[in-house]
Amino acid sequence: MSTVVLKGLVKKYGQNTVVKGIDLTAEDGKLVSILGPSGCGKTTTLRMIAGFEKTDGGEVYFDDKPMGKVPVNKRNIGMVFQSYALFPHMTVFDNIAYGLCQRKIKPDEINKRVEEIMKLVHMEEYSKRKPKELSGGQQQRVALARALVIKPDVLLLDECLSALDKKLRVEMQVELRRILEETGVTTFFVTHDQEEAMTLSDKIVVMNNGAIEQVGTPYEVYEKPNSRFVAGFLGKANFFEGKVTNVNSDEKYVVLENEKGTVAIPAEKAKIGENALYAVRPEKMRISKEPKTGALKGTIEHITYSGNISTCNINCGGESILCEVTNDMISERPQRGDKVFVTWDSASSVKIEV
Amino acid sequence: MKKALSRIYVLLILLYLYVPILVLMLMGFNQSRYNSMPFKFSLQWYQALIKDTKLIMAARNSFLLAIVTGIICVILATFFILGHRFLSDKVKGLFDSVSMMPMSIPWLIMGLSLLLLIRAVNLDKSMFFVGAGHVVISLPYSLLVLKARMASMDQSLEEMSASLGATPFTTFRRVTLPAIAPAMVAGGFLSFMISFDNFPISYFLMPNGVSTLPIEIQSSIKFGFTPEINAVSTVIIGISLICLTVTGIIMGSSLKSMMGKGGK
Ligand SMILES: Nc1ncnc2c1ncn2[C@@H]1O[C@H](COP(=O)(O)OP(=O)(O)O)[C@@H](O)[C@H]1O
Ligand SMILES: [Mg+2]
Repeated sequence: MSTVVLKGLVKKYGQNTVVKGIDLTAEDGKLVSILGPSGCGKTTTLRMIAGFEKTDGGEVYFDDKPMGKVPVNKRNIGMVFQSYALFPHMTVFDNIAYGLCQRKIKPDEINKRVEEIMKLVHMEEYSKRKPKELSGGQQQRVALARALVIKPDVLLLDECLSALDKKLRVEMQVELRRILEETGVTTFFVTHDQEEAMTLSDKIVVMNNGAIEQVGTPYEVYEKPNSRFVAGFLGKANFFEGKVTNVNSDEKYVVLENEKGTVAIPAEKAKIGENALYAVRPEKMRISKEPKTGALKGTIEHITYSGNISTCNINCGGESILCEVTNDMISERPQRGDKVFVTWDSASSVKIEV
Repeated sequence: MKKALSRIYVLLILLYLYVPILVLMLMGFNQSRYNSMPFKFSLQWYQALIKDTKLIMAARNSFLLAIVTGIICVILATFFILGHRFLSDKVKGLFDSVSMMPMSIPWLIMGLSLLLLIRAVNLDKSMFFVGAGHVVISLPYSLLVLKARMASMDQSLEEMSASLGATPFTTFRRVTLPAIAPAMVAGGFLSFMISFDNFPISYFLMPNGVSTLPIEIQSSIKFGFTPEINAVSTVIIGISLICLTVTGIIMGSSLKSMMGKGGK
């Protein structure tokens, strides 16, 4: 187990700088998710931590030890690829034992440890099977067991759940959390699935375009996004942008003026004259048919029913607002064409520095 | 209607391809010395074949030559593709075309140029040069098979091995080699076959008094053709077919096993 520190990591492919100076710390035993759209440099970053790619700048430290000159096979890492990369010609047992066999460990000890880890991932009955005789979820467990059995200092998981179907993926998320808690290994988890990152991580790193946008707990990055990108990438968000023309700190609303007109929204912390950007999560909004002070008036243009919630597109005089309401009453469901008033707590308007 | 037509069409092509060979094989079992009708089944030409020491010596030479060629080709091709992966794309392309070139040069010209080279440096024809010549023309076939295998191999397997602590050599021995072994066997068989069938290279470079099966066949045609040649040709075709089948089976099953679950 190690604390992993990345200092100013840079990776270039020819003229392309695909990782642009990443600073990041993963404390001992913590699970850090690297989240971002496809092609933003997540895999490349992970591969530099593993040592598959040379860095073009910066350094990776495991417990203050610089790893630049340490080859992959000396780094004591556990790795799981999206494709699992199980050795096709070896049995499950031999796959898992592979790493231990490289470490001059006595055969008895190897047997014991492989059997232990197979129990941990619930694969003890399959030790004699070949990888192709296993289902996707089972292959995934074997790949994980193979990475964990060597007691790695760092575990690197690259989209290792993406190949599974939705139901299995959720099951494996729970399973993964349990296994990682039992082993307590420092883990980097690369994913482009924000829900997965939320449920699994101690810390989320949101990447875009080769750089880090925000680092924080799942709560922080979701509730207090520091950029339009983060707010939009993690879940849905409504954005209100414009020049602040009026601030009412008693009733806590702010008037913004932009090319679409003026809009007054529940918000705080604005100064008259500045340009402000606010993000509001759709589930923070409430709608009602009765007028309320400070509420936006609009018409429901479109409504998507999805069981527990309904998602409404509401046109509020130029601003199109996305609003999620719980279907808590069976009779009073909003309908398309309804004239409604939209409101939310001023604290739910997250001010984003522009 | 369309279906029937396409069947006839395919049948005609197959006939065109195989009738000559079938006739040749059939006549090896015909009693007549002049391949004349009516057909009377007989194994006399095969019996003559067994007693023909010249032909048998030639066959032995061909076999030895082809086996050595096959092995050398596989070894060279393996080294080639292992190094090949670390080249930059530009150099890779150049190497690819250069290494495949012998396939597009007529063997006759290849043989002749090798002979001229030996003469130019004042060396005698020898089995060594025959072997060297065979390696030149057979290598591209081993390379072709091995390169195809390497291209379809999941590189992450080797990375995985390294991440688990294996040295580059262990990774090669326990991961890369098992993955390319079928292609090595298949490529070896192909090169074996190319060498075994080859006439022009052997003809130009063979020292006096030594011959291979193709050379022997050629010279016996010159001095009067007996159905013994049909018999020996049938044997050669048989061997070639076996080589091809083995190659096909090995490549097929290895592809399946690499494709994992879907291949089962
Ligand atoms: N070997 C490579 N050569 C050139 N460009 C590469 C290579 N590997 C990745 N890239 C580029 O680097 C960028 C980041 O890739 P990657 O780290 O795989 O993204 P992610 O894992 O976030 O989807 C992409 O634009 C990709 O095209
Ligand atoms: Mg990736």
